[in-house]
Amino acid sequence: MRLPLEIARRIDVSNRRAGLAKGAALVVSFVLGGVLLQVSGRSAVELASSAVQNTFGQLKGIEEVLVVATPITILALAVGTGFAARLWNVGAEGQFYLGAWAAAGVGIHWSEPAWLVLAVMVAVSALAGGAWALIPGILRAHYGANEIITTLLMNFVAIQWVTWFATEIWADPQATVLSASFRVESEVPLLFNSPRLHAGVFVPVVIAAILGWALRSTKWGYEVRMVGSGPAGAHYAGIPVKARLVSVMVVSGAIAGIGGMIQMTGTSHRLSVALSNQYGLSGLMIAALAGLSVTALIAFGLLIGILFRAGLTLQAQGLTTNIIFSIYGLIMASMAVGEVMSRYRFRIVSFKSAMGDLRSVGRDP
Amino acid sequence: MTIECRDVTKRFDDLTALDQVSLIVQAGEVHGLLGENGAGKTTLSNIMSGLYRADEGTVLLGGTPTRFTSPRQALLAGVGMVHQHFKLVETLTAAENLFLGWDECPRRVPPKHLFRLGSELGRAYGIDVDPQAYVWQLTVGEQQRLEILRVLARGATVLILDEPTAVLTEAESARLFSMLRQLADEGKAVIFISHKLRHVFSVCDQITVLRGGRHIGTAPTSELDVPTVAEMMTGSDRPEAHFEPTEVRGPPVITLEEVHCSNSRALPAVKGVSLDVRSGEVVGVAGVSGNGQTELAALATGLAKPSAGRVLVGGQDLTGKGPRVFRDAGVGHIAEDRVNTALVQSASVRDNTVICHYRSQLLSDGWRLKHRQIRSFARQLLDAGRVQYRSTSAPVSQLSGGNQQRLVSTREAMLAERALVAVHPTRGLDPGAVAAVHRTVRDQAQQGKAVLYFSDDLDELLTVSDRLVVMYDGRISRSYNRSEADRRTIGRLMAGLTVHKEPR
Repeated sequence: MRLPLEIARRIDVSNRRAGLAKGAALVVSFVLGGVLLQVSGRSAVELASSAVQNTFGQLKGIEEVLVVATPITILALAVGTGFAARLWNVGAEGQFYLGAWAAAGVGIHWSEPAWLVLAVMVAVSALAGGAWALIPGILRAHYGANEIITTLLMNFVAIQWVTWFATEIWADPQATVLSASFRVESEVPLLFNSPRLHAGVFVPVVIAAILGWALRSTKWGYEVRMVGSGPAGAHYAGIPVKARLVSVMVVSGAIAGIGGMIQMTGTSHRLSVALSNQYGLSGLMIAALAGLSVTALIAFGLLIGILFRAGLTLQAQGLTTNIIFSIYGLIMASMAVGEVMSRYRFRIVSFKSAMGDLRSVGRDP
Repeated sequence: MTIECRDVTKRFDDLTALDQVSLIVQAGEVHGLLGENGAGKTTLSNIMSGLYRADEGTVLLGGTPTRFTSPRQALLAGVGMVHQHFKLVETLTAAENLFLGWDECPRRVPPKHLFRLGSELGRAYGIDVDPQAYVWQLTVGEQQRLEILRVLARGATVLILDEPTAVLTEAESARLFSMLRQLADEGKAVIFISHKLRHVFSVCDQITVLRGGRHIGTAPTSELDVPTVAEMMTGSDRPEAHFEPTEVRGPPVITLEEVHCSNSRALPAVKGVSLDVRSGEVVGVAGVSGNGQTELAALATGLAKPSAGRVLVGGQDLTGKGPRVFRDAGVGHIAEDRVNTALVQSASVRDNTVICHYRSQLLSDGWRLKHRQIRSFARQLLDAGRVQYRSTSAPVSQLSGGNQQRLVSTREAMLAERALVAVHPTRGLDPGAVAAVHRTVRDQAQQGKAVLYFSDDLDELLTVSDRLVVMYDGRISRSYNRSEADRRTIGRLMAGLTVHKEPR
């Protein structure tokens, strides 16, 4: 039996249609999220309005959105860099931790002069994140090992490594935070006398600007885009495909590493395993939603920041942050469906004609 | 059942793939459908098997006109096709594949029952395939037998096989032929598509030759011989243009010394070829497709590395170097695979236009690309090649095939400072565009470049080449100057009848 639906593939999907599909998917996932809340015995409308109130109704809420959006957006930029060459860096989380670890190594032992220490911390965190990503990069480019798997697995190694340092080697017995290192004295300066909002909020913007320019206007960026669009054609044209794949991975890892450094010096001030709240996952999702546009990366980063903040206020009302991850899942699933649907043309045909069509099969016309 | 095509025409955009082609295949015969790549063999069989619909003309099955809208309909009516690339599910067993998507098959069925049904079917049609084996465990020959059995099991009375021997060893081919013979004796009509002359001659009763989408001739195999058919396939029309052979030839630019190389299936494809292409001359490589030409072109451009032997450009040993080094040495390459190699389909027209030149001083400086110069360079190149485009920032995939080919040819000719390797540069072009490509190639030679020109069209080679070699089974013949190359000799060499072994 056939559905009374005719499905045909579109040859070209316009950007407008793709954008429309994403918007619709977003709306659908929010509605489904509301249903989810309702089913769990809460009033979705009430919760949503209180979340909006707590997020936008006060300066603190907006500051918190920016604070949480900062690491998420940096990680999204890291993952997005990989996407330019069609590489999936699932290991941004691990590179983020290693960047923080390297920065902590500098910051715990050295605090004067602050600006120089911060500059050195940025450099070592980029190096650490980049080096960690170099391994899966080489494995992928030269031996064809799937980078999704290698980067994912290396996350666990990175997190164990950081746990060891945070709870043993650099552990601070006086720390009020559980299992964290000594305090890193050098801090990213705070903005507008705010207790939490720090200058690190500009970092994603700066990275996005540089990355956008590099991909559009440098030879490296051109080569990376060509490798991503068609490796066979790029190789034929004389572009060193393997070297560019490795370099993209390293740049992606370096960005993630800087993210870890910013998070530690701006927010947590200590190296701990709780440095990231699944930010790598959020970064992956944003990058998948935004495609190759750095502006879209920033916009989606903010959106997820808002969701995160809303989730935290929901927590105060007895819900866990897991609800946010459920909504994430819904967004991802709806986007994936929307993406596929935007590539097809659907036409409802009458049930009768569908049946008739079926019957005619096999008969001599 | 008898199948007949009457004046079938099929167009794709600006290309006429089939031009009023007629074909009758009687029940009980094995009919060879011969032609070079792009001759229209596959298009014709796709029309017969319901994948495409003819723009004009009709397909008659057992005398009744048909109009299939899907391969499924065609199969139910009795026309089954075995594609060159098998449509089997690797992770399922042979028996599961046999019954996949078959309405008569019960929704739930114990594997044992399925295996029994599978072996019964195999016995009934005299095709033995282990029904319990997973497809990935089967050899290519067994997979093909499974495909054939699957089609027969659904009651096909017309069997179309597209390049069935391309993936088979000699022993497997022989086995296939006896099976086809048996099927024909049982009253089925078998259409055997190939460009391997020897195979066609050893199994077919009738032979039809297509060239450039046109029907060239049909005759019983007994009335034909291999050189005649080779000539029919490659054409015998008079050349439309005449270029004077180059008088003065310079030093060798591309030198191949006893090179060996394997193909993508790790089978030896180039078996010791030595060749000099001198500055100012066009060397044509003739031969039926699949005799190592693709791999030879890859060796001459750095896309493939020789397993033995040396490759020199301008006297400099570039053995083992990649395409970047060859391009920097001034070797342009019009690749055979226009879709996935010569162009990056999802990238823009502009990005594709500069993909070989972006590193030049003109278009970039240090790190940075010069966007303005890139834009004007792209427009100039596209205009010079008379490429029709709507926007330089639209994906190159939106250009028609002919325009894509013009983009590639112009770009590569411009890049080639010393040598140009052109592989089927006129495939899919209309006659006017073909002449333009020939002129470009001759101009390149006139400017002192060395040109290595691959084609399966003998007319074309006799028009553009100063001398030509014939490639057969991974080796090349001695070279023939254009004046001494007669069709008969070349046709025999292409069919592998006599292979001269003197190099150069």
